[in-house]
Amino acid sequence: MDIPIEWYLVLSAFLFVIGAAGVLTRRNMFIVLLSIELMMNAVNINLIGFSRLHDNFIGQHFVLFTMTVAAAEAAVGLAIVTSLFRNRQTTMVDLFDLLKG
Amino acid sequence: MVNPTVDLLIQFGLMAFIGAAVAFALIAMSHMMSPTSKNPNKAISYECGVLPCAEARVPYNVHFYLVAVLFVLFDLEAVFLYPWAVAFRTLGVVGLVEMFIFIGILLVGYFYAWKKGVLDWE
Amino acid sequence: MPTPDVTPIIPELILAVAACLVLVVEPFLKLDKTAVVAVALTGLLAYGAAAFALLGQDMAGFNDMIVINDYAIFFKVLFAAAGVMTVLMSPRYLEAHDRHLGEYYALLLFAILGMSVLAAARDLMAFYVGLELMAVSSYLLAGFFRYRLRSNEAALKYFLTGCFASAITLYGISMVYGFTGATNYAEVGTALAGGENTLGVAFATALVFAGMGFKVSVAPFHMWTPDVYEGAPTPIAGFFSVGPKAAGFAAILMMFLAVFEASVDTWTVIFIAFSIFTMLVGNLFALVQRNLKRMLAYSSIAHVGYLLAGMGAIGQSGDLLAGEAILLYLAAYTFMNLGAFGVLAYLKTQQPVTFDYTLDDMAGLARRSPWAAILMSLFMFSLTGIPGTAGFIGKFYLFNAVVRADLVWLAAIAVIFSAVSAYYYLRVMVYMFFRESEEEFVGGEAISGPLAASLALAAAGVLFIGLVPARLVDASATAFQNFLGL
Repeated sequence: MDIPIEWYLVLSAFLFVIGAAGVLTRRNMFIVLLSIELMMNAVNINLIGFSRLHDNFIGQHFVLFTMTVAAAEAAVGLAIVTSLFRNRQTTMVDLFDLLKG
Repeated sequence: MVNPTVDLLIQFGLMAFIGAAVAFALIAMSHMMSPTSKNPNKAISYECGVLPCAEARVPYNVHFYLVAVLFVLFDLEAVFLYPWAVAFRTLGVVGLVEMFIFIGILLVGYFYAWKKGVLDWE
Repeated sequence: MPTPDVTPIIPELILAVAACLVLVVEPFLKLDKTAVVAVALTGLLAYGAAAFALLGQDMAGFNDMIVINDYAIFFKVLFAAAGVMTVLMSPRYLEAHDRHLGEYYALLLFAILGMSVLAAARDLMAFYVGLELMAVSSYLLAGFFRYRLRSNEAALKYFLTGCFASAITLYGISMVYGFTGATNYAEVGTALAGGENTLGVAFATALVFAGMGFKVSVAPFHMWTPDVYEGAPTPIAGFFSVGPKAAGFAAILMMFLAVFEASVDTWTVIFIAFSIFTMLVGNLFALVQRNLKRMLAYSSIAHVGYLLAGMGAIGQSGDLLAGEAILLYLAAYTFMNLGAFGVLAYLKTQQPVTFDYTLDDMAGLARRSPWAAILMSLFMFSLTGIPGTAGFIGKFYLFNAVVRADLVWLAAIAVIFSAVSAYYYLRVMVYMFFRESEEEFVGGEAISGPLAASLALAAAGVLFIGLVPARLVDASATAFQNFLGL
């Protein structure tokens, strides 16, 4: 029996909300990075589920690009965190307050 | 006859329950039946019997991060090779040339990293 | 498989080759980076020229993912101009900070490549890839001064908000794909016009709007803007304030007119509401800033508010005029804002230690370097919208379009806020001309050739659009009509 599309959507929505909550509430840079990855992967589940629903491959093509972009973002994020850590010796986000908004 | 979705939910619920119950029971049993010792030496990290001389959580050399970042990037480019390989016959020579261009762009990045000394250890 | 026709992406190909060339040449250079600057400049000029040569073409390529038409070409030429000005003002500024590296130019070219793809995309996949290419390069450019905490912090904030925003946009895109089973703009537009799943489509529209709102700094998603502009290198801050914004609006126009055409009533209300709030936040916060980079950041938020009013007018009336006015406004804004940042970059190269971008640092500038003061005044006049400058033409056409869409009250609000903005723009001139500097001025170097050329280009653009607008008005009109004939 096929798993109905709603299940994928609910799973993806949960993952996305968990990721978004992580970005907004966590203080450690690495956890925030992981949360962003979680959000991107929620989207991937969505795309793959829809790809199966519509019986075309566009969604799967899209996932290849999201994965690559996510990797590029992770690489850039790591680079930024490393250079910050070198100057500041901490990875806690809310200690970075030189620039007041 | 029950609704198929409900049926599926029941099956899923049963499986989740049995799985959780077995896991919990095994952990609880091993916890209750195993002999325990309160000796503080047990908290020390195991270094083949030698006492550890420093904290294990030291920051790694920045080089590790650089290599990790490069690995993440170049490793993921491989995802584009798989669909290409599957469709190789239909894509033909044009696909081959396109893939060479793609690899060429990657090589530019690799060359840059190499020249900048990311790959030199010490 | 037949050989793909590369005509639609010739300008992008040139830019990509130039960027790769920069990366290959860079490691062989010692201290003198002139070769890299030359490669980057040549690449940008060739890119603009190739785009210009394709004017009048209208074709799609790569499974209709990317098009070349007057709309895309208008933006390509605009990006080339912004890129050339940014490259020209950079070398001396970076040398003053001991960070003159070739990667800077490669990243800049890649960011422009992303913007170019974003403006030419006709498929959600191409749109997303362009958006991310632009964004990822921008994060690195913001943090280019690796040893300065402010720059690090700017990069971190830009990165976190940017990634969060693109994840939200992406979720919206995935839902659009779910409802329609396609990612091509035309197909998605047709499928959505069927009118099913109204609530779901509205939700997807809201997600895409929120994500893009982060990118072009619509209030209340603007928090990162002043911090990033303050921490990033000044030429880059200027580039951020014009390039990604123009590309963002190019994509927003296309997305909301082609993809979300069916839910036009919903998004018109959203755009008008956010327009008012963005104008309010941008202008009021700009009033209290003592730091000029922050002031210009809030002023750029205010300008986004005016542009959103134009989007509201398009949704309200379906009138071509508002779309043309947005294109015209973006062109005018590119020259005047980049020019203002260029003057700041020049002042920083003159006094690397004492100049800290505050209003007090501007005191007595008219006496020290009259030319800088005169140019700054020109850009400030233009940002205010004084007749005879590009800013006036942009605002005139935009507000006129808003009035014609029966949104007189919205145009009135925009004009009132423009009047308020005169206070913080003209205050800079008061400091330059009528205040004396308290500190003794230590003589700096003369202005470098490229920087002077960049400022001259910006000033020429402002005056050209301001005094003889007809040509650009025509260009933006053709560009926009061409785009609607999708």
